[in-house]
Amino acid sequence: MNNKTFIDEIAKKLDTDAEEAQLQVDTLVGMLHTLLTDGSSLNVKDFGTFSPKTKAERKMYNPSTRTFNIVPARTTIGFKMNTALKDKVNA
Amino acid sequence: MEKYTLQTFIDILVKQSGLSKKTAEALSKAFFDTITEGLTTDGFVKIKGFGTFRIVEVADRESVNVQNGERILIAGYKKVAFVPADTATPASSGEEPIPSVQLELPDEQLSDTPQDAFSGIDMLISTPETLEDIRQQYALAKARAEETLRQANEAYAEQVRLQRLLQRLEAQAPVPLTPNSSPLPSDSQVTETPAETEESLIPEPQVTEAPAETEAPLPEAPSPLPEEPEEDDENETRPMSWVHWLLIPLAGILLALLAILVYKKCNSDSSPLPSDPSPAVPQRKERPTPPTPSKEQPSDLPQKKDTVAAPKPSPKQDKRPRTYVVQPGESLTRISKKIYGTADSVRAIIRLNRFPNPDNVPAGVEVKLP
Repeated sequence: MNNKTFIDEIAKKLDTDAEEAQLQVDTLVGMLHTLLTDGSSLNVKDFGTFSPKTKAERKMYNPSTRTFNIVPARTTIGFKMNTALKDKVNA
Repeated sequence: MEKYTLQTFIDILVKQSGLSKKTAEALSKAFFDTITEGLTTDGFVKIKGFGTFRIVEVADRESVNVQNGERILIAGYKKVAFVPADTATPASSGEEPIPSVQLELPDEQLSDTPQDAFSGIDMLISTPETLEDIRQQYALAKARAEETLRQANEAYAEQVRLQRLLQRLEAQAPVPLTPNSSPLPSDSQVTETPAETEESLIPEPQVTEAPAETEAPLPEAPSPLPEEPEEDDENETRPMSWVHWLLIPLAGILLALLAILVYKKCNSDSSPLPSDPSPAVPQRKERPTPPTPSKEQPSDLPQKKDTVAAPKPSPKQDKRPRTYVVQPGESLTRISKKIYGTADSVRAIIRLNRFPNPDNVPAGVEVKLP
């Protein structure tokens, strides 16, 4: 399911148009991201847990400009599924 | 560091975004339900700006039952994996690279070994944005290079000093069997003559003195460094001399032993004959085909010489032929088996003859037999 299909489904469920649905999804995702950057985790029933994962600072080499740069540290999203979701998927 | 549930999440969503509670609830429900649907139908769900949920197959895994120790199989299953969306890298978005930090290392790190100094490319991480940056980096590099040069010169001066000291001591010592300036262990240098060691030392300063004074060829200055163990060897020259005095007569004895062994071997070559060597004199005269008159003459000579000169003219020759003509389709192995009863004599046959190709000795060739 690509993004377009996903948004269309949401729009159908929410009874709105695709544009509105995209905006709302963006809001939700943004909220989740902020939450995780603060260090919190989110447990969604019958789905899974979203937790923050920290990536350390690292050096990277850019061959075209031939310089070394530092990629700053950042927080990414980690996800672990629940048993309910596992059963649904393995069914 | 809080743990949110969907409800608490919806609450802050309402607070922050201004959506009504109803829409927020519906949105959250729709969001996760659609993901689940997508996973069960398509196996993956890609959400722009968020990431991709994907079904991954996990293989069966062997494990052990901790209670009774028996091996059990943990069945494989499908799991849902999530890959967060790549926060756009500056390179892909066409922007400037992430502004990097210009690291300033403390001065102690400048005097590292040459290898470490060059791994200080870390120091040059940044793209120098101003002339100041370039000047700063040049100053650092120059300081590092000067430090390395100073160290190299010191080491070289030390080496020359020790070399000269060694030469002086060698001139004084009566039999200066000193180890060479190479870093080999002293055992291998025992056999070197004094002349050789002095000759090897003298040309070296001439060769290496010239480039050492210039700044540019840095690597050449440290190259005489392996001669530093001279100091240790120098101290050992005095106690080493008595060992040399011991080894020379030992070598002589070894050589003498070797000579005796060889001599005995030659004798024993003719001894395992069926007949004993003592009656070799009368029996040789009885031989039907004497090879040369010279071999008949030494009947007066002691037995040893007879047996040495008589590998061929032995009584054995009566029983075995001295040559053999190769028949078509025959190999040396077959010949050896035929004559000696074993294929082990092939090597002896080959040694006695001169075959261009011992694997293929053509028919009609007269093969000498041991």
